[in-house]
Amino acid sequence: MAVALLPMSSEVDLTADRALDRLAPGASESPFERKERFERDALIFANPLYSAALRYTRNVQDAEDLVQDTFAKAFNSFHQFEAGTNLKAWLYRILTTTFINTYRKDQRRPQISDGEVEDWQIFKAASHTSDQGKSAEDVVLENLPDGDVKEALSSIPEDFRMVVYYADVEGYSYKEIAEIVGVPTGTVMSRLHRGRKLLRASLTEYARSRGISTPSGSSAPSSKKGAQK
Amino acid sequence: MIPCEEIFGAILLTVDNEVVDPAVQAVLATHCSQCPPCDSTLIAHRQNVQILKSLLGAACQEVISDSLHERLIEQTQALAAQMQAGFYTQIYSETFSQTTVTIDGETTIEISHTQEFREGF
Repeated sequence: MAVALLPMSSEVDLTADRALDRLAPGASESPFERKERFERDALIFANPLYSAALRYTRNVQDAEDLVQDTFAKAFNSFHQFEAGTNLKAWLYRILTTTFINTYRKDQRRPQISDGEVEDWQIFKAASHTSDQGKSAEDVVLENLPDGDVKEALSSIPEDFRMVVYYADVEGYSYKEIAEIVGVPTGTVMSRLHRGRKLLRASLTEYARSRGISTPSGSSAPSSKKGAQK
Repeated sequence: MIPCEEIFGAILLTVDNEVVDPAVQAVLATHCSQCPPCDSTLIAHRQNVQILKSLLGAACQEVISDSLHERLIEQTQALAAQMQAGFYTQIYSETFSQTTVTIDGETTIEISHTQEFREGF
């Protein structure tokens, strides 16, 4: 009796051919489908996310890295995004947490009081002084160049800066902003009003430093603005 | 009439479209119609917010660079490929054995085939 055993054992990587044949249980969409959906629905928000990232980081290199990290995290947790809810706001939330965890980790930030009481009192004091209609200062501010506006926004503390950005650039409600930045709506409200006041003061400074006089209620808008043109 | 200080919070909220309660809206409207200073405050605050919105809206319009755009596309593809490798059960190896048995001039051939599966490596 002769027995011949002819082994034909081989270790061949067949993954390249076979990988597409089987979906693991629980995966509702293939990675390819997710990629398509992500490119179509999420990557279109790259510009506004970049704009917000610039407000956070205040420099191009870090802002680009922050946007890239944000989209990486968003892709990997895209299955957690609930269809029908606001995708852009969801991305902003990831941007915010990524910034806090990655770019702000080692920085010791002074704790900024939201100054609700103080702010309220300032407002009360100022509340009955304004005039009807557009002030001369308003007209001057409206003509400030974009670069000054961005720098003025950069100059105010981050907590206030970002709330102003989400409210006045993106037009989000207090509730939406609260979800993005992770604070109560009452805090959003106080940060927003304080932030706008700080921004207004900063813009006025920029106008002054450019030699555009900001009239204190008496004269007409500066003639220097006209001379520059 | 409600004191002006108490109206002030509603003025801030209404400019941001955050007053949803019709009763509060009515109180605010009544107060402002009877109190010119508060009415001026409302107008001035609304004006100020409009100016800030138009300045910021015009200034914050940055567009990503071509290189960042490319990186985002490449990153998405790379992550999808990674996910594919993790998501699928893969055949790691296949073994074929052929057994030939010859008894008294009669030959029987058996072929066995085994596959080893691994997940997410």
